[in-house]
Order: sequence, then C-alpha cells, then structure tokens
Amino acid sequence: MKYYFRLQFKMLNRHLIQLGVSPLPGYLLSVITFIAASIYLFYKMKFAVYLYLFFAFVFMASLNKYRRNDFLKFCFSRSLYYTIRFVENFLLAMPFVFFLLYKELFLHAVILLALSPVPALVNYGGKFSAVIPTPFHKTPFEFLTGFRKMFLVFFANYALTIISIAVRNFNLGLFSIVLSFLICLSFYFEAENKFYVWIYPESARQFLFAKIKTAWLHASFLCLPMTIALCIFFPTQLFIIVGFYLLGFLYLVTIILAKYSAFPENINLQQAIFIALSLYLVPLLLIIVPYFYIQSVRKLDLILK
Amino acid sequence: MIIIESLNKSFGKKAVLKNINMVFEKGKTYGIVGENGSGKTTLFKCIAGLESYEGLIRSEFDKLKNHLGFLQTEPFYFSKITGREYIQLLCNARKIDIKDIESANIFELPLSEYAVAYSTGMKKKLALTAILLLKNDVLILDEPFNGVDIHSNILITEIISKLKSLGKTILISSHIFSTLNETCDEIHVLKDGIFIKKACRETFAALEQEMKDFTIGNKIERLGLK
Repeated sequence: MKYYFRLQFKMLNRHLIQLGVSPLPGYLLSVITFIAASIYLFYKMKFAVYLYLFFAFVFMASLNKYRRNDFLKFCFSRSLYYTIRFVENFLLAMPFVFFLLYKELFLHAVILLALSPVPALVNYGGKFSAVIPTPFHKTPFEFLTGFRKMFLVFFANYALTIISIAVRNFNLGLFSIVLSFLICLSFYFEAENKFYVWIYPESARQFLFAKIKTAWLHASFLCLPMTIALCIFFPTQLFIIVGFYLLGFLYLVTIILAKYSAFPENINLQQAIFIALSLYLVPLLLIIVPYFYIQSVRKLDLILK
Repeated sequence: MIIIESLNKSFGKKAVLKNINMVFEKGKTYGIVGENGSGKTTLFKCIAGLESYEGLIRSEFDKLKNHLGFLQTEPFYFSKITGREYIQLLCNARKIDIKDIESANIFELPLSEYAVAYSTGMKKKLALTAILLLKNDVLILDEPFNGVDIHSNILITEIISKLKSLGKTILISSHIFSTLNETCDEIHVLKDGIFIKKACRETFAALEQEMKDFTIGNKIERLGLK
C-alpha cells in the first residue's frame, strides 16, 4: 500500500511537470487557488456550505472510475482495496475539512469526514454502454463524444433556460448560455491521439479552419435554440444576448487554437493562464488568438507536412 | 515505391534506428520481423511521418502519408464512439464518401456498439476495415494478426493477397512467421535498429529455422521446468 501511494505521488508530480510547472510551486499554487476559491465561494453565496460539500463529494467521486478500480481490485486483496480507496477519499476530503473547521462549521466537517468512505463503495463508468443517439454522428468526434458524456448537463441547462423565462430571470438565462459554451469548450481540453490528426490530408491551415467550422456548426445546434428563446422573451436585452453568444464562439475558436498550439500535448499552464487573462480582459484575445494560431500551424505542420 | 536513405532515429540518447537504407518496391509485400524493441514500430512511424527522424524517406507520391494506411499495433479509440462512427471519422478525414458501411463490415463487427468495448481482436479488425475503405496505395500493417481469431486470420491473409494483386505496396510486421510466409515476397530481420538479414520466398524456411534456433537456444533448459 505504501508503494501504491508513493507511485501515486510520483504520477501526480509527472502530471504537474507535463503541465509545465515544477511540483513544489505546483502544490503551492494549488493550495493558494483552493483557499482563494473557497473564500470566494463563502463570500459570494449564502448557502455555500452545501455547494462546498457537493464539490467535495464530486472531487472524491472522480476517483470512482470503473476500469481504475477494477485494476486495483485485481492487484490488491478485497480488504486492502477498500483500505486504499478509503485513505484516498480521506486525503481528498482533508482540504475541505480543514476549511470547514476554519469557518467553524464543525458539524459539516464531521459529516464530510464520516461520509468520505461512501463514494468508494460505488463504481461507475464501465458498465453503462448504451449508445446515446446524437445529431453529430455524420462528423465525429469532439461534439459526438462530448455530448454523450455531458448530455444530462445539457438537458439540465435547457431546463435552466426554461425556468429563467418562466420566472423572468434574465441573468439565469444568460448563465445557461455561458454554461452551454463552457461545456462545448471542455470538449477541446484534451489532445487527441496523433493518428487522428495525421490521417487528414489537408494543410495545417485548412485543418484548423475545418475544425473551427465544425465547432461553430455543432455549437450552434446546441446553443442557438436557447439563445433564440431568450431573444424572444427578453427582447430588450437582445444586444447582451447576441454579444454573449458571439463571445462564446470567439472563446470556442480560442480553445481550439490553444489545443493545437500545444499539440500533441494537452493544453499547458501557460496557455491556461493566457485564456484566464483574456476572460478578465477580452481585448487580449486580439493578441492571444493570432499567437495561438501561429503556434498551432507550427505544431500541426510537423504532423501534416 | 518507398526509398529510405540513411534513416536514423533516437529517443534521447538511445538510438532506435541506425542508418537504415531500404527500398520497398511497388506491388510487393514485405515482412519485417524482429524481437520486441528492435525498432519495427518506430520504423513504421517514421515512414508514416508520425515520428521525426534524420535521413530521407522518399516515394512516388507528393505526400506519402496521404496515400498510406497505417494499422497500428494498438489502435486508439475514443470513448463513446461506435465502430460505425470510427469508420465515418476516418472516411471524413480522407474525404471518402461511404454509402454503405454495413456491406464493408466483412468481419461482422457490432458497429453500433462503442469501439472501446470491443475485444483486442475486434479493435484490430475495426481499424483494418477502416483502413481498407480508405483505398490507400501503401499499407503498413503492424501486427495485423495479433489477438485475431483463426477465421479472421484466414480472411486477413486473403485480403493481403488481393491488395498485392492490385499493385499495393504492403509492409507487415508479425511475430507469427507462418502468416508472413504465406503473404510476403521478402522478409527482413530487424535487430537493435539495423536490418541484419533478408530472405526471399525460396529461403523463408531456412530463415525461420535459423530464427527458431537463435531465439530458443538453451533458454528452455535455463528455466529448469519440472
């Protein structure tokens, strides 16, 4: 078991290095980000503690992958497997527990700690093999695979749009558009296997434009209905709705270019910082988009030449 | 035709391919054999342009990669993508309008199911089906018989023969000598990044015997099996 956790630690360090940050500053940055995000959440929301507990359980559940746990069950005895999984969840819960204690929410901290083994008792991700129909089967793969992974969130998001119209809450409706685009952006976070770029006969430029075109069409399919609905029910806010919609597309282009500017690696810390900065200062995209484009062409040329 | 001149490839300080010079002629089938780690897959990736290298790889085509079908040892599949969608993805990439995927499903794969859920052999057969639909002039088949059942093995051997008769250039790596014996015009032995031996059809049997003797040696005795 000791060796297993030592190996996990090594793997975590390797992930950080791959992201372009040394382990020690990486851990420091993670701690600072976690504390800052926690403070912000409690500062902004009245019932933040419930969302906080939800996040803690989602964080723990992220280790609940069927294949991963199947492998662990294969390697370790039943008792050792559960010990490992409980210790993992305990370690993941600890930062949340510490912050709850700091906020003097002792009961919530105890509940979180007591329930931390529960997510380890559930396995998912392997046995659910029903093929979900999508409108994107003619042009796989980003929206096809992404939609299948996130279709429940999309339905929930549409429900949010309907609620926003029913209760005349424009901000909620706007949030549903932003969330839709954020989900679409997440389809481009991970780099695909080199083979799936290599197979294309086009030049890097043509490849990128084809990717952007497909993304625009598919994202429109998902986001346009809610945008039109909001335009109809909140006609006075038309410019804001259209503005956010166009901004969503602009960030979609940015994330595609960011992805291929790091290819075949995943988007690294430097690119993530650039994108985060552009969220605060949108005009920065005027520099970032051409920069990512030039880098993407350079990286893709190595494979598509 | 593919001409390889002074091909060198290193990963860090480790030289994987050392000054490879080779000509693969149009319409011929070549077998590449060698132990694990001898450099076969790296050689294939260099020819495909999936790895950078030193040296020169030329062909009759402007861009070899656009006429090349590459069956990888372990084809990668996205999660949540069906067999049919995988074929569609590759056909879209190469701009091939495929009307009837079902009739091309000669291995009778469950194309409506997620490809990641396929067995090793089924994954290989799906990748091969897609590559065959792309109508390539050159094919690199890295371990095409790995994990594949005996019936499909026979079918793949026949497919290779047909491709050969159509004038395609084929490079195959396999650990199963008999499969190469049936399909190849030449077999080349790669060891530590260097081609150390070449055999034509007439000398395949001698090469197989030589490899057996060399590979087995006294290793079984060393195990001390009782």
